[in-house]
Amino acid sequence: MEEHLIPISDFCQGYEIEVSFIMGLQEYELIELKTIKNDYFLAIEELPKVERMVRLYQELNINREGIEAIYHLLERTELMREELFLLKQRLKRYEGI
Amino acid sequence: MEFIDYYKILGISKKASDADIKKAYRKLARKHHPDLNPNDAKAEKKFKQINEANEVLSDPEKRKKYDEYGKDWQHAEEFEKQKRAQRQRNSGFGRYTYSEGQSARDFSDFFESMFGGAGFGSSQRNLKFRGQDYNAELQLTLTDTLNTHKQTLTIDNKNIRITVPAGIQDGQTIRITGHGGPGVNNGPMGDLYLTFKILNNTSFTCENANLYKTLEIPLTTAILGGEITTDTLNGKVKLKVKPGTQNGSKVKLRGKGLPKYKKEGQFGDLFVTYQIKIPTKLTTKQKELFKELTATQL
Repeated sequence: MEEHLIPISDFCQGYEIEVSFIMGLQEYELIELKTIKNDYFLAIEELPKVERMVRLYQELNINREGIEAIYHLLERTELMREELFLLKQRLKRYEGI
Repeated sequence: MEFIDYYKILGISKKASDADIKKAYRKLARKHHPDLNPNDAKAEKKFKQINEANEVLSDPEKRKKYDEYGKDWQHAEEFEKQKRAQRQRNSGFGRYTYSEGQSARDFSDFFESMFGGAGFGSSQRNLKFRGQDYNAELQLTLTDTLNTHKQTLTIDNKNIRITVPAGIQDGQTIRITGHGGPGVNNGPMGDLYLTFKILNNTSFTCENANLYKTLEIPLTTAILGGEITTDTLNGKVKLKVKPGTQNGSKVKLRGKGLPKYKKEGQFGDLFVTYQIKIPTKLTTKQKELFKELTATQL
């Protein structure tokens, strides 16, 4: 399958963000970068996630440690949301009887 | 169009300093930022209000105009004309300007009226902003969810053809990338979040991919066993009722439930609960037979 990759330098230029910020996200294992001949690339599927992190950094001045904590909490929130959804479905069944 | 109290939105007094405004804005923006509150329309709305309040109060000229006219902002332009005329009469020159920013998006009518559609102030960098995420609801019937099908939606006068996978659940939200609002300064398009509302047009109740049904069976069939027919979503099936079946006992019809979401060829089960029908009107003969049964100490 063809993979669409964006050079990190292009991404950083477009979003006016330091390359070190993106490299830091990789160090924290928040994103995955591809390396081809010493150049770093971002898979297009990662783009929405990285954009969100850039917004948190630029708009809310949240550092990488904060972003990591937020992602952890958002994942937990999503799991709880799914659980709530299932419980509501179950409740609906009992209320329906 | 209602007057909007920007000070109230940021929770600050009219005497608040620039630092107070910045602090209040940051605190509220962190609380209501859409990236921290995914799929929360209320938070998104609140975030826009906070942004708008900050846009006005953090810009000295906009704040001055807002403070000066307050609730009479509707007459601001009229007052301006009078003031200009007055100044010209007094000094022969003078004009009043306020900075026009870049493109305006998602600001209230109040803001547009007062500041002429000025968006993010010129003091801000030429940032790219991702377009607004849209939220929409799509109603389907339960039987619509049995098969994967295509559906055309109209969003912002544009037709979008989407594939609705079989087994989509009530309340489930799917994201359609790039079909939200347009970005600012060549920023990416927002996404469309589509929430499905499934109307149950069947006699079954459902939980995930499983279906549930209560089926009445005659007392004699429960005692002696027999065969009954029940509806499923794919037609009628015959069930063998074991002799001595108890009220409330359940049978599982494997694979007779709903299709499982994005698991082709996999289906939930249908659970049938037997409810034994106790006869209320007996003939004389039936009563006698029951009396005979009673005599046998059944």
